[in-house]
Amino acid sequence: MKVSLYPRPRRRAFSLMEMLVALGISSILMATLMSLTLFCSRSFVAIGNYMDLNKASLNALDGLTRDIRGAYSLKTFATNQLVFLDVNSNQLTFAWSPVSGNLTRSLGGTSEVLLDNCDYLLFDISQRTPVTNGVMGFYTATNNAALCKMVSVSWRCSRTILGQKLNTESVQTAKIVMRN
Amino acid sequence: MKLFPRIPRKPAGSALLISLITSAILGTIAGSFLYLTQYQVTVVSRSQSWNTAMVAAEAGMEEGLSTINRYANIGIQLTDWPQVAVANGWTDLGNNVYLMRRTLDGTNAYRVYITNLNNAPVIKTIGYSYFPTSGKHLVRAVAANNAAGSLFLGGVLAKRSVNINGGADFDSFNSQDPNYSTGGQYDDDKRKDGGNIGSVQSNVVAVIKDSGNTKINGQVATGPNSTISVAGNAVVGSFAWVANQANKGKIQPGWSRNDLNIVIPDAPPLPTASYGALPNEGSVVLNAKGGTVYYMTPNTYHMASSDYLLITNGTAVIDFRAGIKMDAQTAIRISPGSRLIMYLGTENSQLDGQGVVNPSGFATNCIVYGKNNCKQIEINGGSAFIGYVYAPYADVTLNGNSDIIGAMVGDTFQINGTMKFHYDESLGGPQSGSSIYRILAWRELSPSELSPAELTP
Repeated sequence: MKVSLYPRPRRRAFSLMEMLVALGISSILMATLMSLTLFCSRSFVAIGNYMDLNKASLNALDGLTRDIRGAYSLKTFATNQLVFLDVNSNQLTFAWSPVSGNLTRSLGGTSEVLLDNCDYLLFDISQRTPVTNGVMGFYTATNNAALCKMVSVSWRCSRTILGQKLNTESVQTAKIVMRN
Repeated sequence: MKLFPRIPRKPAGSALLISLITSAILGTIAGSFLYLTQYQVTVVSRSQSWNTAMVAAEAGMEEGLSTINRYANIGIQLTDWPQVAVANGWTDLGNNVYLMRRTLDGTNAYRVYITNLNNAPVIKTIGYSYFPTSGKHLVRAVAANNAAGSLFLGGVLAKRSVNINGGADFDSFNSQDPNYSTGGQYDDDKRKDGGNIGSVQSNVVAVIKDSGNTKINGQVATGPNSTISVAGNAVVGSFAWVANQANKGKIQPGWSRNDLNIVIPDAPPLPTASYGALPNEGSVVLNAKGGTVYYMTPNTYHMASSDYLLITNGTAVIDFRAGIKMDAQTAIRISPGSRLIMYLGTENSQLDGQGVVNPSGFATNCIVYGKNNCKQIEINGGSAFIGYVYAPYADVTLNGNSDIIGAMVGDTFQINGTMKFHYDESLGGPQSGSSIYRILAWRELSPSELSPAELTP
């Protein structure tokens, strides 16, 4: 008679109840993990988009400020386009296209896109003179390009996540005084 | 007896492996977020430094401008500023170039170069702002060309109202430009439509009233929100516009503006000198003997009958502390090659009679300054007034039909005559004496326009 010194443990399958409980717990855990992963991924992309929007807006604003401050005069004005003459009488144009969403800078036959995915942009111009005596910061609005001394600009850009427009940056606004 | 000995377990590292993988994933996620945050900090920090560099550069520009305008409007030659530049801390680099370097708060700095050729200084200022992320300075630079100018921006410039109701005819010429003058004199064939009139007052209805048969061949300007009233046959605009009868009572589009916003400083102070007593009224000859003589009179200088005052052989500076009153037939004559500078004081000054006769034809030979207590000036002379009046606190009245050649600054203007007012545009330059350097062009320089040494503070 062969007696095993190491008897095999008893094995048996999950009962139906055990199986259902295991499946339920696993499903909940998997769903939680998936949603967490999805949420983290979207957050990560969103933060990246905000970084990109902020960087693009800062760069555009820095360049726009530099050019407008140094412009000699404003030649023509529209709410989406400004045409300046620089100190060398070259024509410098900033134009926003609602169709393409691009803000373009053109000088001497060369164009560059300062901003893309720009959903909204508005130029406004003012004389430098204050509205009332002694109150600085409020300037007389004008539509006459020849009188322009100050340019106000505001814009809103956006980025997409999986094809959906979920990120917007709408706080870019500035008043820039021409120095010439 | 132990029938079921312990079963040896197989070695397994799954827990450690899962921990390591989980930690790696979490670490990667955390690191990525930290990287993005650091990137954002860098972008914002760079933008702040970039803008700070411009603030530093403009601080340098202010110092440069204050240096070259050290003698503006104080009766000393404007172009004398280099004589005291070194004493004021500037480094003379030779070839008319001066340098100033300053550190603002231990990290930010600027340096300013003034290149003074032909008394048209060019200021180049370089601002440095420390950028902590890179450990270096961001550099921005600005260049500004300057030229001496004056406050005679037009024929008539007022602090407050301008009322023109006669039949005056305004235009301009340039005594320093042969294209717009003949031998420095006004020439009808070379005149310009630059007889500009301005008031700096704001928020006033009809601060400039133009009526009667007035012709302003030039532009009119007011402070913000003030208006210009044009009535009757009065007309404002270009020669072609003014000549067109259909335009009577109108301002040519584009020839008026309401953004005039300047400060009109006080008249320059009396030159420091020993002032002798002006001889009593009568036939008075002031011989400057090739130099400058200084006189004063404490009471109203009342010229009557056929009194005259002749300035000859140089410059006479006269301080009329209580003003001057000229009756009919009296005259002040400035002989060719001579010059008169009058300072008017408290009383109502009247330049009647033959007025001030300045046969040289140059306005710079007859200068009338109204001191701060000079409240009223009347010019009714029977001969042309060739000179300029700078009286920021005076109500100026112009009567008669004699020409006026020059420019005028006052508190208010009442112009009643049918005179022809020829503004000498050259008075907008330094030759009018009361001048100041103004920026002609402001331009930001790219780093490639700077030398390697200029890229660090």
